[in-house]
Amino acid sequence: MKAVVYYDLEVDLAVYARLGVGELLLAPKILARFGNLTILQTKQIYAQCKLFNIRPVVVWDILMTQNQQELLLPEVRSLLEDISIVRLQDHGALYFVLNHFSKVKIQLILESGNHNYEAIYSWCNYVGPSLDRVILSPEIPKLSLQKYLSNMQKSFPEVSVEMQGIGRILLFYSPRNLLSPHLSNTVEGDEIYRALGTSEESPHKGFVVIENLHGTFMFNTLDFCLLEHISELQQMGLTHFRIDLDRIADLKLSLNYLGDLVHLLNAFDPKKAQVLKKQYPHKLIRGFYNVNKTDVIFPKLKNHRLQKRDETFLGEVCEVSRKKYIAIKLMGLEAVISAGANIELVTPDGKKMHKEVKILKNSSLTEVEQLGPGQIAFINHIRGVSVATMVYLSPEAAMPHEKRP
Amino acid sequence: MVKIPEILAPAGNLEKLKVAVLYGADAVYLGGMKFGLRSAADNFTNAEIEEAVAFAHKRGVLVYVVLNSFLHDKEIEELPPFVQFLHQVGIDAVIVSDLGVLQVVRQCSKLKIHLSTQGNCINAHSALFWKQMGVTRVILGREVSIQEAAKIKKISGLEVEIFIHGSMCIAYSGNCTISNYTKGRDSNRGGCAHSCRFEYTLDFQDRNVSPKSKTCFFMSSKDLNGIEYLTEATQAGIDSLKIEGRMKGHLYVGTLAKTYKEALLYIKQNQKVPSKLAASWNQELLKVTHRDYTSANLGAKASFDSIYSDREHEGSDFIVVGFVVEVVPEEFILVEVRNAFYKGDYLELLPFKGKAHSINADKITNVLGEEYTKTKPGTLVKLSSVEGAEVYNILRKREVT
Ligand code: SF4
Repeated sequence: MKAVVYYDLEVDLAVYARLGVGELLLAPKILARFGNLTILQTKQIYAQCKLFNIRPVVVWDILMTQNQQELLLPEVRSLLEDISIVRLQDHGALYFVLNHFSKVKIQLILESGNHNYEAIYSWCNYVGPSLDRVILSPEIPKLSLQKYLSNMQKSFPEVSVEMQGIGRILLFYSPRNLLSPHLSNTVEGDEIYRALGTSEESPHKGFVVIENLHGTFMFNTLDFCLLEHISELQQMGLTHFRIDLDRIADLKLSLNYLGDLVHLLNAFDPKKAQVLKKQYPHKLIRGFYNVNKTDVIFPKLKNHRLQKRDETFLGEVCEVSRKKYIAIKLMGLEAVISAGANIELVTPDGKKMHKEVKILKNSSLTEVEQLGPGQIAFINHIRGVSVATMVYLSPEAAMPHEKRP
Repeated sequence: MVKIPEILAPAGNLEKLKVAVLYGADAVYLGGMKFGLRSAADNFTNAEIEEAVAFAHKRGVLVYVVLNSFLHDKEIEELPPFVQFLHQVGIDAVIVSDLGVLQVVRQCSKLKIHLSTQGNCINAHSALFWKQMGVTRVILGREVSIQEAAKIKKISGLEVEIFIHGSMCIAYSGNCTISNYTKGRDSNRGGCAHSCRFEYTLDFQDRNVSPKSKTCFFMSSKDLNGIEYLTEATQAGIDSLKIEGRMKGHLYVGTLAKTYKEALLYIKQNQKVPSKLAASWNQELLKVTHRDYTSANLGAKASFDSIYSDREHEGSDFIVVGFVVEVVPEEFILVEVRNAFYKGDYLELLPFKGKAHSINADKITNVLGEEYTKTKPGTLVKLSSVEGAEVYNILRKREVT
């Protein structure tokens, strides 16, 4: 498994080469979310990388509205003429590169969603021979990842697969400027604002928030780390492990750490992985790697007892007058209630009862034989029934005569 | 005569769908029991979808079904029978965001596909990509202006839909996972915990911040209100204007469908909107629950005044007090009470078309004919007959603060 690292303008390419970094991400300021290179610098460094046997990749990962894209395209064209690999997320950027720069290889960011193989397969199929790599979501759990990587090896053996290995977790990407309006001393040319956001309404304190020319970004309080799973990931077929060491402010420390990580990737040692984890300056989590349970809550958000069954549904109780009547709003398209019918009632707390419609009246309280869709049926009072009780025709009543017990 | 955009209203359940249709929506969108983003909404059983289609189609209204959650493998496997069912019952389109879901829909049906705003289409090249994937309409991200939407339509040749009203994500759609990591709920599968609405203390360390800004709602968006942009949207040839809010109530759905539709019909007939009329539409929009309003990016890039700097709450000038469930002409209207009102209260009955009727609840009885001075939610009451009243009409009352 190879390391993928963001290029830092303050570091010599020779240093990266010495540390064994095989691939560098070059982030132009106008195209990358956290870029700081000019287009000219990007081109120059791109060319120099080859001298050091480093594979350069240009990052174009911002999302762009139509007007922004129109503004950017002249610069993008000039850049794409001089490079051969670009990393992107915006589907418009993907379409543009495929159709206008068919020789440029594409690394496609699939980190937002794409939690099923059908989607991943379709993206790979669409991009075709231009696809160099896919970057999968860090939210994909191990078991799914294993399946995807195995399928990828069979269907797209020439496409490499990358995941975030260690670094900050991006929680939020907004095009709006959310920090600068709060500052009273912004100055011309001052483009990056940082703050720590803490909410009393959340147990997590100190979210890093950054505003730059592309909008506002918020990061998790805990960083992501799969160091102890390197060997397992390698066996599954992950080819690239992205390292983001922005949290380590001291450049020397960061480079030393990077060297150790590259070494760990080349020769995995679980003890060393633990040591490196301890040295990392922030708390680490492995996210959803072991299991992704972020949807188990959903069934609980609904009151199951209130979920209707389709068959034989008549309607809902809309009024209960004690000892006098209950009123049922007949809701189904074919909801017909007759005097003498057997009905099943399911109360909001799940209690079920079967009763007979002894008296059936309309809203003028005239006795009737039958009422149909859209009407309000007034029937004899039934103890224990409350508003919002669901009313069904009793299963037996709904059965054809010959099948009834 | 100019072609006006379709008004696309949310349908959180079958009753709300009927309200939306009757109050003027040209199309409605709804979710089945699975595969959509609003996991806490009532959503529709299969029988209800059939009923919804029958009800809407009878009135010339289109039905779109959302399949816009970011699905996992297991759900992808479970999807084909549901898609085939949707095809059979004759819904008019599905709304998808995930390429895997899109492929399944294409493989097992001939249904029209609309790209969900979660698919993040905000430029023409992106629309061209989705066109190649078989999409017939793109629901553009809320980041684009009407003029950008027009360009996207022109270049791509696709139908375009934009949001015209409702709550807004402050992040690019599909690019917020705050809830995933802080609450263990996947926001792209319907679990958003609205963390962007929380109050935060911002520590800028070495920078000067006004004391007011230290603790603030720095990333909560105001609600979108595009009533003033309808002429522009019409002239730009926008195909569909979407109202957000499958979780919202009947008053919201009915009032918005009616107001937007009537405004568009006026624009169809008349070039200019008199300011008095525009003001009256705006007044109507204040009668539903909302945060403060913004036009967000419809005209120009959303600025700081699009941020809602208050604790999460949604106010409105009016509350719904009930629905007409039966009309016996010249005798009474039967009302299902949702919020209490009193004898002598002035209520407004919102007809499907035209101005609200002001009525005095001077006589309230139950079905037995017993008089009430105060009504209770969850009961049925009779009020004096109101000319033109119809079943599903909304009764509302001004909130006394
Ligand atoms: S937390 Fe806010 S920005 Fe994030 S998904 Fe929810 S509503 Fe959107």
